[in-house]
Amino acid sequence: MGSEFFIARRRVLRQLATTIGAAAISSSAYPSRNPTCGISDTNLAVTIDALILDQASAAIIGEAYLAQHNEERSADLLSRKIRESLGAKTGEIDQQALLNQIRVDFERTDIINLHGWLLSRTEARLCALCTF
Amino acid sequence: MFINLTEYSGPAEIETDICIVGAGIAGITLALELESASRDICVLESGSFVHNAETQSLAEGENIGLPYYPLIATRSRLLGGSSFDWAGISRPLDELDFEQREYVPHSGWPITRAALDEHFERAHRYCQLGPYNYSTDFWATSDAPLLPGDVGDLVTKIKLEKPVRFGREYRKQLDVAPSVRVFLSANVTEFEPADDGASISKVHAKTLDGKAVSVSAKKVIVATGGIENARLLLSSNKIHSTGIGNQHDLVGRFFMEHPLIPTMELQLARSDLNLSLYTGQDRDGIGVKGYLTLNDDTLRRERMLNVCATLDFISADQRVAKSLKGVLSAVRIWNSIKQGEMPRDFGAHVANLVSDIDRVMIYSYERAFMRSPESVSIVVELEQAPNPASRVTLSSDVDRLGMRKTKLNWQMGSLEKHTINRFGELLGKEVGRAGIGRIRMLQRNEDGWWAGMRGAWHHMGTTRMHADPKQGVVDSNCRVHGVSNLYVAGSSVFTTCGFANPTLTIVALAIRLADHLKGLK
Repeated sequence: MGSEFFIARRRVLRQLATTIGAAAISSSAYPSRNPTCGISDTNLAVTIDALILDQASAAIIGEAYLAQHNEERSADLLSRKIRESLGAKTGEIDQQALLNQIRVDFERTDIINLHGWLLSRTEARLCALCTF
Repeated sequence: MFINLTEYSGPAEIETDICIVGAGIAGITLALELESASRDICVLESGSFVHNAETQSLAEGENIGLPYYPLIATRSRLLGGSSFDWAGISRPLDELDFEQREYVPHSGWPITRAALDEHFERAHRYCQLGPYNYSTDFWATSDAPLLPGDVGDLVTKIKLEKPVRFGREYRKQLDVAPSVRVFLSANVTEFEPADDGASISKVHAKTLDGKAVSVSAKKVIVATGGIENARLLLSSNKIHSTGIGNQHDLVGRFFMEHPLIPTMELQLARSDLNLSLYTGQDRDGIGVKGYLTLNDDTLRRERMLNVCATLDFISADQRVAKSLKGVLSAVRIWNSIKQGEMPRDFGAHVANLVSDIDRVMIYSYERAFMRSPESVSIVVELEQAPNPASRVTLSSDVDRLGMRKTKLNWQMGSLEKHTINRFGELLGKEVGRAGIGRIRMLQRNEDGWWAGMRGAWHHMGTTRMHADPKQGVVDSNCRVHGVSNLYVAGSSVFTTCGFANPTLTIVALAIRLADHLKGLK
């Protein structure tokens, strides 16, 4: 993989890390966002759109996750698994709920190692959704 | 008083009550603790008040194990020893470090941490560290707080920093101490045992030009450092062919270092995080720094060695570069000293190190110096497990005094790798859970270690302490098993080494040994 992969990966992870923190960050500090990922769960898609500021970069992380978990290479399956972990098979999912679940993932040691980065499974799946 | 052996014209046979070999941190502490009107003390120091290239060349040796600095660069043969260029970082060993841990073979000191507390407090005065208090309650403030939130199994431990140069600081005290004679340029070459080998009858020393003296003492203390202590015992082989105190082939074994390894990076999730306690502060001339580690229960449960993380606001890859720079700087110092000059600028003349590192992973210069940097490099400081295969032996090469040089074979194993990996995973879990950020583990080399791994110039364990002579060289009073009047001072007696820098423990043990000797009839 070329240097562009690593630069893009670092950028999205920096953005993920800052997004997951509690502090609000000025949107002017970041480049303009991409449209919502191509998934049928529109509520989840909108929430992802608000949570992940650079979905093109997120997709790079997501592809790395799917390379390890090819059995989850389906937008519907990923959406369902995220909802199941939140205990919200239907209905709205807001940003805070996803942030809480990410925190719970760390609590439960449901952690994914992607090229050295230790990420919550939920955030890895959110990135994976951005590949579709 | 100081006597330069090269100018000495007194008797070649010297008698004294206590002969201390080496005037480094341990030797100076012992001399000052032991000096009194009723006790004559003779200190034999290889060097003088300043570095001398020819004397320093006696510290040459070879390395056949893990990559290491040139041995000549990691020791200092002059008054004050390694305090000449130490960083001054201090912390007592933890209680856990003294325990026998079933998952750490050869662990377990014959003394407890509690038995040393009084001596640690007195050691603080020698190291000029202020109040003996390592509690985070004492040092964390609103301006320099602990990590926020619930960080689970993570704990913060404090190290203090003040580089006291013992040779300079205590020179006058030694000079005016009426019962202390410090012989400079006095290179000890051999301990002569009595015919039955059960005691030391003489200590032989000579100058580089061959002027010789012999010291007869009621008590002899070897205090020449973790490598040299072993070398001297191994070299003294006229009665016992394997050396003094080596009847069970333990002298020189269990060499331990503190590996410093840049293993991960912390990507911060918040720009408002105050990490000033962890990057270090000055409090009235004493450096204070917090180190991240795990609580004792977690270390035991996870079967991990003691370990801590130091945070640095440069990228992990720049930290690797700095580590490599340290190796080259050490070589430069050695070269300068060999040529008889002191290096003018430490580490400034470094070859292009960038070629050693994957350019792709190098972070931007601006990030390193941002007021609210986004990523933090983590260097793991690790306890090394006692390993009998990690050892100091004698080379077939000899120095200009005819003594066999040192051969170092530094080895580590799977327990260290397990500790580092698991530490990264647990750190990743806790900082993620607390919303602090994300951990990135750096890639390992083909040999399973990390780029930039280096030692800390801490030489420990080569004459380890144990009640059983089949498991240690010295007993709990630092007396060499089987030799009635020979003692060892310094980090060579460490049974295990924790992650704490060794100097404070060296001084504490020296004070304890002095107390023991004062109590003997």
